[in-house]
Amino acid sequence: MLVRRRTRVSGRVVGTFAALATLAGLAACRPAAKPLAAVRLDGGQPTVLLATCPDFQIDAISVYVESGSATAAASGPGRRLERTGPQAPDRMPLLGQPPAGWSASDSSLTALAPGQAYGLTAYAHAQPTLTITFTAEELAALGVGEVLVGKQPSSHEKVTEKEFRKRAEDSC
Amino acid sequence: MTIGDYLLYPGSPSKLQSDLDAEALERARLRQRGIDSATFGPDLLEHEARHSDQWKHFDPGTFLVLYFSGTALSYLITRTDGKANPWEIGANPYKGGYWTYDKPLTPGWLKPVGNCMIGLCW
Repeated sequence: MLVRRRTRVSGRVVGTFAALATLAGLAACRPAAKPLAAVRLDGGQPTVLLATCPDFQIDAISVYVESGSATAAASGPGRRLERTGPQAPDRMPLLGQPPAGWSASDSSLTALAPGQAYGLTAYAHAQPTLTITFTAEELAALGVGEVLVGKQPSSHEKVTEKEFRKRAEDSC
Repeated sequence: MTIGDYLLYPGSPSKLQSDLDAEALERARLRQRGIDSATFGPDLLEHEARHSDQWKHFDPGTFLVLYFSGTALSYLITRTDGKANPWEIGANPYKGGYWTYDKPLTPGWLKPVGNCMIGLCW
């Protein structure tokens, strides 16, 4: 997404530098997101799997409707969970009653709609994890022991839970 | 990432809104503890606005050389791209997510020096 504020540098210059920055794989101006969240179905219910680093303890989880567009805003029911207890569990249900130590500030999402893309991001002190974009059908298609993890820029990858845990640990 | 007056955000509008909501929550948590959240809290858009201000003082090529020299310096000092980059510190590293109020930085001299750079010597 590109937000223009004031005009001092031309769009052409911006385009050139953006292309160079992309080619160089630069991630300036924001720390890189860690792959510390995954999602899958447990007993037919969406479940988020969490990992932590010593300096990255997840304290909020957000699920929101994705429009599939880089510019169009999406509206729809969402889910926002905030940690009130001392630490995050290694997995918890995404919908329904929040587990002990968590509260829901947005519970408008009660079930995943068929064909709708959702984004899931976890946060530690407002620092985001790698976002997972998924649909209900993609969750249902997962095999035993498989989870979806985030993939840049806005997609997902199917891996085993063991691989998710390994990547999370490596990212710390 | 900010280039001149343009903010390049690698996500959807929904993701940006989610990030901004998470920042607002974190600032509220800091305020509840009596901490100046407008200084020590995360605020990506204000951080990027400061980068935009930095760009206006140089021609684009010069700024990029200076910025990435700062990146190299940061990597030498902290093994990270941004935690000791003077341009990130100048744009308030708390707002940009490079520094967190409660987390110590290594080396230990970095935080007091950086705090001074953003006007928080005492």
